[in-house]
This record gives sequence, C-alpha cells and structure tokens, in this order.
Amino acid sequence: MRVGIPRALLYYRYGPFWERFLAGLGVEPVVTRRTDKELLQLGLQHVSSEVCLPIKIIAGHIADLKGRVDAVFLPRMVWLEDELYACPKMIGIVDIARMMLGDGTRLIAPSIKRNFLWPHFRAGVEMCGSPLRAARSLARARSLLAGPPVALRLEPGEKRIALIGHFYNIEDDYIGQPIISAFRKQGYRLVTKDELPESVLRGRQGFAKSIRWVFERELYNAFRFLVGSVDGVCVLVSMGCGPDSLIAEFMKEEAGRRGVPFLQLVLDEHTGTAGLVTRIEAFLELSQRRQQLTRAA
Amino acid sequence: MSEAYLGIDVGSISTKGVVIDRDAQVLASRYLRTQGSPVVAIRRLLRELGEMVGGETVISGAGTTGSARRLAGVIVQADIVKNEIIAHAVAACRFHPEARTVLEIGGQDSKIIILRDGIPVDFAMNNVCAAGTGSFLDHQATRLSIPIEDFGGLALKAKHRVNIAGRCTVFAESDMIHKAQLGIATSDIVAGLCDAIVRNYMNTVARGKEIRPPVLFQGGVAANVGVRDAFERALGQPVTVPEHFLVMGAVGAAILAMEETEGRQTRFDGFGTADIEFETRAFECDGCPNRCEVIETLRAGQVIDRYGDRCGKWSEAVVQPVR
Repeated sequence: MRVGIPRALLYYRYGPFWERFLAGLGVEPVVTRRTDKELLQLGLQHVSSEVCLPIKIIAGHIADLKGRVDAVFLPRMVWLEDELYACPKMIGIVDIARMMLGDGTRLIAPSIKRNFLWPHFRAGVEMCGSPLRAARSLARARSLLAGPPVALRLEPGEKRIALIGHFYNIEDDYIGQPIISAFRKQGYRLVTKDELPESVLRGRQGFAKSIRWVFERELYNAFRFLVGSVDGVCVLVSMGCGPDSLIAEFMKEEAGRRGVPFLQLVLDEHTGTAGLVTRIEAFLELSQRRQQLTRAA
Repeated sequence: MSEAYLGIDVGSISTKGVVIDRDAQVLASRYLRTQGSPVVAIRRLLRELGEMVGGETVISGAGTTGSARRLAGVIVQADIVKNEIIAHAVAACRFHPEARTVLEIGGQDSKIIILRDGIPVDFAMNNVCAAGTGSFLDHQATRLSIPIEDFGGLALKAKHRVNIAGRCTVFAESDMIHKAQLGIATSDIVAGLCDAIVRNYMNTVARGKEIRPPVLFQGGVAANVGVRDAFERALGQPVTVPEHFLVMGAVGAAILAMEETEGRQTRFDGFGTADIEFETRAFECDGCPNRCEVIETLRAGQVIDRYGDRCGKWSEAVVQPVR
C-alpha cells in the first residue's frame, strides 16, 4: 500500500516521525515534493480564497496525491493539552481533504486530542492490520518526535533578527526562502523559535497563559524570550490568519515600547517576492540608520 | 564646471528624474509617464535631463529607486540602487528636517514613513491593492470625464461631501454611479472620492501608526488639492506639500548617490547612455515546476543583467554582476 503524506503544515514538525512510523508498518510512505508554484496553483483551485496561504498550499499537496496513492495520511490535530488548541483551519483541513479526495483515495486521519500516540497506534492498525506491528513501529519511530537538541548560541557583535513565524511558513521553501535569503544577503543572522528549548516555548507566564492556540503561544513565548537580545523583530503573518493577526498586535506593541524595530510581513499568494524584499531592505536600513544616529548622539 | 548628482525614480505609472547640486538644490527635473515601458522612459528621461543641464555639468554620482530601480540601475550604471522608502525618507528629511510623518501616494503605491528627530523609524506600504492610489483617482476621473488636473479644485467646491465606498475600485465605481443617479452634484462626488482615498489610506497603510505633526504629503497624488484637503480634514492638522513633491524619490536617490560616491569615482555612463540600444525580454525557465519568469536586460545586444529566478541559476550566470 502506498500512503501519501503532504509535505506541508504539520509535516514540518512530525514528518520524520510519520515517515518512519509508516515505513515500519510495511506501507510505502509517499511524501510530496517541496512546495513550488505548480503545487500552490493546484491548491488555489481547491479551496476558498478566504483561507490562509499554508492551507492553500497543503490543499495543493493533497490534490497532488490524489489518484497516485492508495491512501493519504493526515492526522487531525485538535488539541495537545487542556485548553491549548490547534487553529480551526488546521482542524478543518481534514474535512477539506476528504471532499477533495472523494471515494478513490482513502483518508487516514487520526484525531489527536491530548494523547498523541494512541490515535497513531489505531491508525497504524488500520493500515497494517496488526496491533503488534503497529505498536512496534510506533515505539521505533518515537525517538524522532523529540528532534535534535537545541542550544541558542548568540555570537557577540553579530547582527541579529528574530524571525517569528510558524515553522510551516518559515520552513516551506516557497514561502520562507525568499524572506530568509533577503535577510542573509544583508548580513543578518536569523533566530527562530527552533533554536529555543521547549520549556521556553511552552511557558505559561503572563499573557502567554491566556493564549489558547498552541502555535501562537510558542510564537509569543519565543518573541518574549528574544526581543531583548536582537536588533529587530520580523513577524510573518499569514493573510487571513485570525490567531496570527491578534498575537502580532501584542508583539508589535511590546516591541514599540522597548524601542525594538518591528516589521510585520503579511503572506498570501499575491505577495510578490519583490515587495517583500523591498520591505525587508527598508526595514533593515531604517534600523541601521537609527542605531548609527543614536550612537552618534 | 559644477558637480551634480543624478537621481532616477522609476515607478509603475511615472518615471521621475532630477539633477541636484551638492546642496541638494534641484537643477533640473523631469516627470514622464512610464507607459508600460521603463526602458523607453529611462532613455527619454536621460536625454531630456542631459539637454536641460547642458554640457558644463558633470554628473559625479547617480542613484536609482522605485519599483524598476534595479533595471534603471543597470541601464545608467548607477552608483547606488535603493528602495523607495529610504529614498523618500532621505529627501523629506533634507528639505523638512522637522517633519515627523511622511504620507506618500503614487500611481500604484502608497506608503507612510514615520520620522523622529530626522531619523526614519518606521514605515508601511500598501499591500496588493491599489485602490487608494493615483490609478484609482485617474480611473474615476476618466469615468466622470473630468481632467485629472481639475479634479482636486472641483473637490474644494463641494458643499455636501458624499460618502463613497473606497475599499475597492469596483465598489467605488458602482457607488459613484449610484450617487450620480440620485442627482448629487459632481463636486460633492469628487470630494467624496478624495475622502474615500484618505479613508482607505488611513485604514490600510497608516493603520496603527501614530501620525504626529508636522505632516508632509508627497508623491504624484499630492498634486491633488482635494486629497490634501481631505487629509487635513481627517487628521485635523495642516499637511505640507513639499516643493518637489512629485520627484522626492528621485531627489532622495540623488542625495544617496552623493553620499555613496564620497571620495570615489562614479560609475555613471553619462547622458549618452540614452543613445545606446537597450532591450528587455522575458522567458520562462523550465528547470523546475516553479517556472520562474526570468527578465533579461540587453545592452547593445549583450546580456548585462538577469533577475526573477528564485534559485539564482540565471542571475548568477551574468558575467557583469550588479552590485
């Protein structure tokens, strides 16, 4: 059996785990290629124009799998801890996928509510028919959930920007690459939340406690942790993302209070790379001029 | 023989060029329509500016800005290619060091720049939609059969400004037709359109920005006294239109070129560049599914620049790279 995994959204967090888990079941995991213009165009044909860019992108990946695999594996992340939810569109993408795939391609979509492994186990049984095999495969794949150990190392004198955005936006080549390279070209080091330990990202102090979206809480915690030690903050917001737009306002206000340069980039499928680069260039230059002049004074 | 600096600002709708002296006094300035062909516009601009300043003036530095800044930079061999935010901010600070807010509305772009103590500290640009910009006004003026030059003056004659939806050109147009059919005076409708532009600007570009006086208003739309008046009403404070409002981006580019060439030779090729054949052409790369549209610039038949490829395969292959 060939089981497709869209290389989008949660893939950027659980991808290696999923691939090993599926391979251990004796099915062949088929991961879609990196996002490109063609996949995005495909996605645009399948979802409402109102949804955010990452949802449009995953729709493209799902459409690309249709007909060339026996099933699509797309866990539905609902919540991880009490009162800590994934966003509604991320929950809903499974239903969109079901409509898109129709009867021809099976959809295997375990619902994840607090317990992460159990729904995976059940889905494993569904795919290979053997509880023993599913349990073994899960046990073997588990080590990949932790990811590599993280250690934030800040070199003295380096020019640093905190890039605050969802991993599925930053790590997606099509969305993130032009932004990352625009900063690097100007000699900046980008710090993302990937370099921060889980204890920081999951923190519930202060305002973070009242953020009930799991990924937004991570973003906000990363921002709070980094804002004092960077030359500027760049926040990537998906157009049409309610949680993003709300949290970004809080970050903007706080950056303003602390006098840290702040740039908000709004991403959608119309965003030309040229426009993004212009904004990034202008932002970096404004911060530099500001620094030079404050130092001179 | 006097030292002078050239600044070129190529936007989607218009192409602006200035020659300034070392004190940033404007010696010559031109404003042309880009008319979809920046190459033609840039060459014409060079020819006309060259004629205006005459043979005695030596250009010691050249800078380009605007959405076609890269292309312009390649053609004239500019010393510096800079984005329009910085260019506008630099020019505004030079002429009005006391300014704390710059509103800029061009043909398809609008931006706000926040200055504090003569330093640009924050900015915003319009996203995808050009609803609140010069093209919008142009379009509506055509629709009402009013020359765009008379548009602003007409707005000032309004007695009862009407409310027009300015979020989107399409909605504004149907709203405008509806109001006209109700028998509302054209001047009232025109004033309503100016309000709509300002409302759109305040809600999108300037959203969340603290607009402190003194406020400057520059860019092509600043020529429109109706929009300026609408800004003053909305902000409740006077709005200053600087003398060279139309070419501020170009002035900024020239000032930046002056800074850049301090103590070294310019790369600028001279106004004679206007006589060299330039050509741009586009092709779709089929190397991967991204199918990037690659734009090539040719100077006298030779490829001098390529851009548009995400991976750099084409742009990095050009022998004479642009800084």
